[in-house]
Amino acid sequence: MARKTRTSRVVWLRRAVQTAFVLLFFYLFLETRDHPINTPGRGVTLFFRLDPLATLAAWLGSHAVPAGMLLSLVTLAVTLIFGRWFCGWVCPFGAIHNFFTSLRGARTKEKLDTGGFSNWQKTKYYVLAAFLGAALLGANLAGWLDPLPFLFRSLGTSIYPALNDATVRLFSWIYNANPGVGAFRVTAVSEPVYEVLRRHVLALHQPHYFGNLLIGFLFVTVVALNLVRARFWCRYLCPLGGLLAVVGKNPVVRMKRNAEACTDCRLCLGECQGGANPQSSWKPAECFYCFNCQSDCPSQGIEIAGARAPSWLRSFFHPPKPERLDLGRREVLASGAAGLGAVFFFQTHPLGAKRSFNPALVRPPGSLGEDEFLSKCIRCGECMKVCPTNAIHPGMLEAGLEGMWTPVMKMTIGYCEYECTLCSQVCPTGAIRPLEVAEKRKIKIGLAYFDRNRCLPYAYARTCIVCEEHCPTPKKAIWFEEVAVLAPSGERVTVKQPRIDPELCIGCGICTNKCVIKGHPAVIVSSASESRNPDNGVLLETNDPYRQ
Amino acid sequence: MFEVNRRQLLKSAISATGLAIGSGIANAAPPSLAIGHYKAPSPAPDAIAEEARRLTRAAIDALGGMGRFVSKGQKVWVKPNIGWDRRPEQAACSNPDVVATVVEMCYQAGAAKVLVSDNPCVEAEKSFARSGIQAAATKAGAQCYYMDDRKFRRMALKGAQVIKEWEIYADAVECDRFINVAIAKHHSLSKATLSMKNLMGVTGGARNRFHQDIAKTLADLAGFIRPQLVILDAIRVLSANGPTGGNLADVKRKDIVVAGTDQVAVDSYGATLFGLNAADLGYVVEGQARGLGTMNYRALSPAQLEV
Repeated sequence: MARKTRTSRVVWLRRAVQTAFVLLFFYLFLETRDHPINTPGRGVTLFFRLDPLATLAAWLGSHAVPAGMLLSLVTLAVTLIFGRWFCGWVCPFGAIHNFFTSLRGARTKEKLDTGGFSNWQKTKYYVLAAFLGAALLGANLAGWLDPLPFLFRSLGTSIYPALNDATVRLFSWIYNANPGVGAFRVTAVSEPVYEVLRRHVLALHQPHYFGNLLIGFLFVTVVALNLVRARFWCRYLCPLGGLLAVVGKNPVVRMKRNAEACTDCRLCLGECQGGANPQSSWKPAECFYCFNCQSDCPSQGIEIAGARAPSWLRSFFHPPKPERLDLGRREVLASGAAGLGAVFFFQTHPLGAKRSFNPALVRPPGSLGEDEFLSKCIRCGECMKVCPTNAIHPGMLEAGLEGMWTPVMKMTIGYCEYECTLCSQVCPTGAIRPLEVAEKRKIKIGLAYFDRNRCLPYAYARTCIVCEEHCPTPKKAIWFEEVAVLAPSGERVTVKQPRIDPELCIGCGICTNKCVIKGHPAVIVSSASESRNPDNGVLLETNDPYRQ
Repeated sequence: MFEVNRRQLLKSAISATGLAIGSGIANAAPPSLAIGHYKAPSPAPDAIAEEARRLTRAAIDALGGMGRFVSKGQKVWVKPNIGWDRRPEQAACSNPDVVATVVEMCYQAGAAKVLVSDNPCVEAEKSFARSGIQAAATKAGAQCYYMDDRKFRRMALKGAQVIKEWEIYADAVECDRFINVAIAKHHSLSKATLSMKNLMGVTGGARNRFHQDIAKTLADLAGFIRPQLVILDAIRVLSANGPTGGNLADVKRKDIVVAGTDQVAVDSYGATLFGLNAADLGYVVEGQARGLGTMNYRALSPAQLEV
């Protein structure tokens, strides 16, 4: 075999661009927080707006997407020319897979034997067909595997909290142990570093998310799969990759193998990221334009170009040899029908049919009615990351299987801050519609109720009303009656027993959050009376902006 | 105890004498309580800021000036109420200009470092910003940043009856001087939030349990922290739906700033702002019973200032 040549400049350029996009993604991730007061970082939804799958899936189900999502048309337009350039150059998840693929210790022979195209790579197209089929009937499931929501959600609810915890523990250990030599203390260095991290990188309070284990496990698994096959996720699973492949299967810029120079050494295949068969019949739909083949070719036999100008135009209008994906009509239809059919099961579940409402399904303020919400939410986790109180969590089955990883509020962990609209500002698809603070203050996300068997002044004749203290409505939705009750000592004591005014209660859940009883607090917010689902209403008349 | 150098003593004696002459009471030592009232209040925001600054300065000067409390090179902890995500006019948090004036006076008295912070009931990022305190205190030169979770340490509270051990913010204890800058407002359970209630902001842990015996826990805290100087902002007073408020109709102008060295006396006076007697506030009664101060604030011959 020929000696490996030096890595070409275009590969270095590609690595630099990938690194830049990964850093941009992380930066925007960290910026998905409050810059007081009530202002998220700018442009934090950029990557979701570049995502044509998120746009298409949301549009198919709801027939409406925010104008910003049309930025994804740029991605598609470039794909027509450069094929899956997005996967190879832009996608931050792709870059992460790329990085972990490079850690793969496989021998060249194994790489050559397993590097070529496999029919299993068609899986991603069937996944895509199933998602689009479901989206047609309003179940937007694409976010489960759409790489950008997948990455953001995994980072936000699982990886970042773990890294944050590890960092804080390290610095806390140094801070408490305060080691040093002579007069020099390590804290003299570590504390200023910690202060900078605390202001710009770390969370103000350690975040905790329900469901973090499953999400983290899936993330680690798909990253680890790079050790089995180069860019496993991108080759086999990624529905966005599938969509870009369908759109860009006849790119203008193409790989050309110079058959005369080629010595059939197959080294080009060794580092091929997509399994695009550069050594034989190149498959543009599987190619990420990583340029590894060209860089690795010892005899400069590979060229990736749009050729000369006249043929460039020619090939644009008359692509040479129209590519076929050979997916099989039956298989595609079956996948689409499977996605479509699943929706009928979702919709005949009592919750899906609105025969019943899950009291634990409290959504962030501004969330659309449940059907419309599910057709738009891409489960990206932006709202979960930005929520300053850690109230918004990736749901499990609160909203049925089709609602997995959609945002659910857990008032035992956080609560809805009265003057805050951050989640509605960062939702890329408008599943949580943009809100003004004045409107938000009046939206009911649920209704609180007391469990008198647990509440201290009712059940144990003790004073408390911490709930009333924290109730944020200008006229408090929690009021109380002073009642003389029998204490365990046999004395009559006067306690303040709290009550709810259902007209005023907006379900923010700070009462639940601050209740002294943890786990199953004595005051609980249920979704009843939520503004967004009129069928889940309670009161005859309300001052609710949704229902006026 | 704090040190007083000769010049400061002389200065405070002179100013106190001047005040004493002005108020017609012959008393050589500086008073331990001063109640400043603003004569010509105006609703304009700039005018309120000016009022806050002048009242604060006058009340502290009447006690002998900040030099009585802060000496050169000291680290001072200033504890305003930054408890809620509310604007200054909603009167749920201490007036930012009162806080800033206290910070400025600390530096003028030679303080090396002034720290301003609170453990709010809602998100710190929002309450620090919305209250205007972070901006005002920072501008005055203080370090005003959110509390660091690591610095809550479980401490033994000497003399405490209920919270014998609790998580207390380390900086608040390790400082040389502690100045409590509270706001007077309505509170359903304890009837009024005044200076002693404001000390809850240096606690962490499950402090929501304090409500079950608010009088004793606040006395425990007050006996542990023992601020050298207590400021009570009653320029705007939240008279109902406290301590959160939000409705401007519940905010009443009183145009008063109180400064004192006796937290029980300050809160006893504070009770009168709500038409209450000191004896109506359980924690004040408990505070006197523990010897933390006197409910009979009149016996301290407070300096009554018209500014």
